[in-house]
Amino acid sequence: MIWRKILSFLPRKVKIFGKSYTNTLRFKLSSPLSSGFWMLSAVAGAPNKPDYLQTVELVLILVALATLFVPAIIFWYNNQPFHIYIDWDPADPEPIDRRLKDKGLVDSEKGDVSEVDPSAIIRVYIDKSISGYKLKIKSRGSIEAEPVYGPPNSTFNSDTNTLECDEIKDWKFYFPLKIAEHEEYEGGDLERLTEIKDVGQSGRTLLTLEVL
Amino acid sequence: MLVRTERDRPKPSKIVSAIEETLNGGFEIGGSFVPNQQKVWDFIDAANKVIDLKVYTPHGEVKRAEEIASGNVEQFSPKIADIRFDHNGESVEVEYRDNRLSINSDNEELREYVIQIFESTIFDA
Repeated sequence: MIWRKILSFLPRKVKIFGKSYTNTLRFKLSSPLSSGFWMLSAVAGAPNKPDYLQTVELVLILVALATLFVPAIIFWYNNQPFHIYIDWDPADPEPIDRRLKDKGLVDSEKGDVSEVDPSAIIRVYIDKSISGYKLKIKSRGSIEAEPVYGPPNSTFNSDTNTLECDEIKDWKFYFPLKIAEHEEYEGGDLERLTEIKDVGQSGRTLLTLEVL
Repeated sequence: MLVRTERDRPKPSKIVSAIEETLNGGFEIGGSFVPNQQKVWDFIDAANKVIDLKVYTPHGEVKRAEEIASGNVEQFSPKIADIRFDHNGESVEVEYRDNRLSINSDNEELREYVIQIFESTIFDA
């Protein structure tokens, strides 16, 4: 019974962890570094080797494993629980928007936030162990952002700029997000960010979009 | 009660300021109104004919409804819906686009009819 319970929530949680972790710089650095140590251990493990190289080989194998797993374990402890994972893509993209996405940038539209076309599609994956969520859409600089729709079963509170859902029926959903720059704004702000923060559960910022 | 705006999208702030003008009261409403996606589908479903329908896929592309392989279009986010409403033997074409409404008619009665359907489906609590 308990095993069934563990199995029912484990894959989604592990999946959310995997999606989050594989996007980090430490993952991108640790995998080739670990491969490097692994290859060195093979060199040290050449046939007819002196005895001391056997120890070197073992140490290199351990270093290779540690390089791979230690950053992942630290990431798990620092960022748990992996309740919600958020990902995005540009909405109705031109080729330039895809290139901007590769650099982690999203284009904004000039005008009133209720009038502009959406800039991004936000995808949300939720662990089945939670029953509700509150996601706050925060912007810094001359930027304002709001969803076009509340996704299934949720409501958008425009006073707090929060998407709220008490009873989740879809654990995987998406919504278009409008990002607008105030028309009268002359520029000059250093930070132009739109963030989505999990204010219901962990208090963590789950997505940061750098706005062009 | 009806409120006319340039783009035909009746925002709560505009409705409230119209009420305020009438009642000379002290209402205030912050921010704009974000409807639930299902209510937008309810509005599209209320039309007599769907002429053209485009949706966002989860990866941001815009696809026509006919291109959706599963056929279950209402699982997607609507982008543009060109729809037709029939009322008293007359028809009116309406474009719904990213939460903005354009009614292609000067006939006051038809416009009123569409806006009332829009309000009753989208603002329905």
